[in-house]
Parts: sequence; structure tokens; C-alpha cells
Amino acid sequence: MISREELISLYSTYYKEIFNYIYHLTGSYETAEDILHETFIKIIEYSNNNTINFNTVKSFLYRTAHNLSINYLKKNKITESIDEDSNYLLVTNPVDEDVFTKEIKKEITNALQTLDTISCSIFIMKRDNNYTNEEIAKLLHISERTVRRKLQATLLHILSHLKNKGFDEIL
Amino acid sequence: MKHLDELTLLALAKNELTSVSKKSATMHLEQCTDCKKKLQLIQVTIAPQKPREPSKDILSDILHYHSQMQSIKMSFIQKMYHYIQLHRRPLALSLGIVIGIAIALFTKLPDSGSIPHILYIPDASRSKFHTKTLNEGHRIIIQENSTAMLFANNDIRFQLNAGADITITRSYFNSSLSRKTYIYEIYGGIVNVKSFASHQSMHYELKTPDALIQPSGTEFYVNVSSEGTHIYIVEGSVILHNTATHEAIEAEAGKLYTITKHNITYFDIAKYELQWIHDFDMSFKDLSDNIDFGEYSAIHSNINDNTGKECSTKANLEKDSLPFSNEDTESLKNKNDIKDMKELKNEMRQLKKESKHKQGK
Repeated sequence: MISREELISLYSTYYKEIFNYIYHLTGSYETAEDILHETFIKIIEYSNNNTINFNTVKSFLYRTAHNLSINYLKKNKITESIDEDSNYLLVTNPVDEDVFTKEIKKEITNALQTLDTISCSIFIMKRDNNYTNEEIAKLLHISERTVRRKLQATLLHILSHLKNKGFDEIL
Repeated sequence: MKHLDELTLLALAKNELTSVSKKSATMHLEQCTDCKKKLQLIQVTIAPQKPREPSKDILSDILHYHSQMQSIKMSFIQKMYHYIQLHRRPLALSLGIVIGIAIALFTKLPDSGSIPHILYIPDASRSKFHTKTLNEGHRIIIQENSTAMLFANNDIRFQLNAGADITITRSYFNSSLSRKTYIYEIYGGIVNVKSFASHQSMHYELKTPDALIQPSGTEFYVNVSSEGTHIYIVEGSVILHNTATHEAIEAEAGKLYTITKHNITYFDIAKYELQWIHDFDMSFKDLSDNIDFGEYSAIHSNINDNTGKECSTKANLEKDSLPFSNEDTESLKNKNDIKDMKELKNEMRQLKKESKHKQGK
């Protein structure tokens, strides 16, 4: 069984990126906390009968978090937008920062909600964690080609959505 | 003109293109406004979001769950080890206190121990004795044409006739209560029991197949046979319990009591009207006249200090009948305290006189 020290070390290393991944996938802070908790509970239970391989534990955490998020989304059919206090870093005009940020955030979230969860996961991993396609493929147990294909489709979908909303004119 | 695809624009936005591809893409962007706008949109879209922090309670909840799982999973020894590791200081303190209390108690423990018995076996001339030191658990069976005297410290004397079968079940001294306890089991034969010590400092009882005898008097005869247990009380009184019917009575001097599996019966009778008592006393007649324990005196022995301290005597007899051979004789050489010896002799003479007097009558 995983030791207390190992568990603390594991949590300290991955809790932020896993939490943010779940948060952007589900769009709810409380749900992200619940799923993060559940993800680490799963790893404790897994370690009861199995030896944890610390080289692949990241993949295990992401897959678990991903599956739990999918289950949550399927059950709850999320329609609300992402939490209001969520901020984007890249903002072009400081004066219009709040208005622009809120608007584009809302539209990207809306666009993502119409996509499948795998596409969402790939996009969030690419955007927030700067993972390469190869890393995403490994983490989600899918082929690199699928990652590329899904990523391209997601970008097209978001860009098309933003164009339709007139954001290309603003920029 | 072929436009740049989204993945190339994404790679460019993330600065993941090779220098050649980047140069080619940049040249295209300088000429193509569509792709330029698309790149700007992609840059906005993939702008990393401000990371958020979950509540710190989550880690403590996870660790709590982990400790619960560990406690279920751990074996008893592991649990003990884990517990000791977690509570080292209070445990060390508690252990220290317990050891302290144990030492304090140990230093004040009552000095208890087994009280040895001495068995006197007269030789053929019946003027000298062989002795045996006996302890708890020893059984004595007197063979045909033989008699013996058993002394429990200087508290109780048993005259054992041929065929007597007696076991010393319990014999110990409790110094904290200053009280001696003797328990015997008589399986057969005739035994004359006489106590010398106060019943306040001593408790003793005899068990037969039919009865439990708790003497509070000084002298009585017990005859155990297949017909039942007969008790004749010479002096004082005795509490009799029928072990089969649980009936209990206080037996008085001058009466013969018979305890069977069905009841307890009694009648008044003079001592020597009972043939078995007469025969019994006659078999001890010589001993009473010439009794001289000499150097083997139980009274002189250092084991007879009324405390039972010298309980670890050498005798280690089997719990069988005693082969009363001379080789087994043990010498008890302490020759102090002659007074007690004289007192015992006097008592024996008095007993003899009494019996003669009653015979005369």
C-alpha cells in the first residue's frame, strides 16, 4: 500500500494540474474538488492490491480524473457556464480586459460544451498544461494521431464559433 | 495560395515549429490576413488560464482515508508497531508508571508459601522413627501392619492407621493474613486428627468421598469406608457437610456421625464402645508410651517456624504411595526449642491416660 509520505509527495506534485484539468473540464470548482479527492482515493484503493509505478502514476491520475469527470458530466449534463471568477491571462487591451475576458471566456466555454469530453480534455491539456501531443496521447491512452485530429477539430470548432460571434472582427 | 492549417497555427502560437517551418509560416502570414486573424484567435483561445487552487482540506481528507485504509489493512503486529510509533511518549510514560507500581507492589508482596509436613514412621521396635518431609500434593497410603504420624507444622497431628489413605491437597501460609490453610483428602482407613493451633490462625478441612469436614474443635476420629464416612468427635465441634445431599450440621463431642450418600445420621455413644476406635488407639498404644521423636522432631525442625518460609525442602516424592524404606529417611537436625517437644510429649501422655481411664470405666 502506498505510504503516507508517498501519498503526500504525489499529491503535492500533481494536485494543481489535475485540479485545473478537472475544473476546466467540468466548469465547477466544488465538483473539481470532489473529483480530485475521488481521484486520490482511487489511487489509495488501487495501491491496496497493486504496486504503484511512479513513472506512470501521472497517466493513472489523469485517466482517473478524466473518467470521473466524464461520469459527472454525463450524469449532470452541464449547461451552466464556467465559474464567473475564472480568468484568462492573455488579454490584449488592458482597458477592455474585463469585458473582453469575460466575453471570450464565455464563448470558448460554450464552444467546448458542445464538444465530446475527449476533445475537451485534449484541448485543456494543450492549453493549460502545455503537454505535447505525444504526452496527451500517453496520458489519455489514445493514439497521437487521434490527439492531432481531435485537436484540429476542436480548434476549428472554437474558431468557427468565435467567428460567428464576431470575435475575428474585434481582433 | 494555400492557407495554413489550424495545427500549424497552433504550433506557431505555442512556438513549437522548427525554424524552417516557422520562417515559411511567418512569410505566409505577412501576405495572408485570413491566417493572421485565425492565428490571433488561436492565441486568444489557447491562452493558459490562471491556475486555481483547491481547498487544503482535501489533502487532510485524503490522508484520513489513507490512515483508515491502513488500519484495516495492517496486521495486528503492524497495528501495534504503528500505534507505538504514534504514541511513543505517552506509552513510555505509562510503561514507566506501570513498572514503578509493579516494583512497589513486588517489594510489598506477602510472603506466602507452602508449609511442609513431616511424616513419622516407627521402625519394627516402635521406639525409633524414620521421617519424611512432605509437601502439597503428596499422597500417603499406610500399608498393612504399619502406622504413622503426620504433623502439619506444629498445628495438626494425624495418627494414621494401617490402610489410611490421605493426600495433602493444600498447605500454605499467607503472611499478609497471618493465616495457615490446610486441606486434606481421605480416601479410606481410620485417622485420628488433633489440632494444636488456634482456629483463628488456621483453617483446615478434610474431604472424604461422602463428606466435607471443617473442624473447629480439637480432636476427632475419621473412619472412611465404602459404607460411608464415620466421625467420632472427642473434643470440640466439627461442621459436617454431606457432599451428595448438601446437608450441613454442626457435630458435637461424644457422638458418632455417619455420612452416606443419602443422609447424615448420629447417636450418642461412649468412645470405646466403638470397636474401631478402641482398636485404633491400641495400635498406637506402644507409640504413645514410648514416643520420642528425638533428632527428627518436627517441633525442632527449622521448617516448623509457623510461617512456612522454609517451604522449599528437598523432598520431591511422587504422588504415589510411600515406600517406607529406611533409605528415604531424612534427618532434621535442628535441636533447639526443647520446650515444644516436651509439650508434645506431655500431650501424648495425657491422651494415653485419658484412654486408659475410659477403658477402666
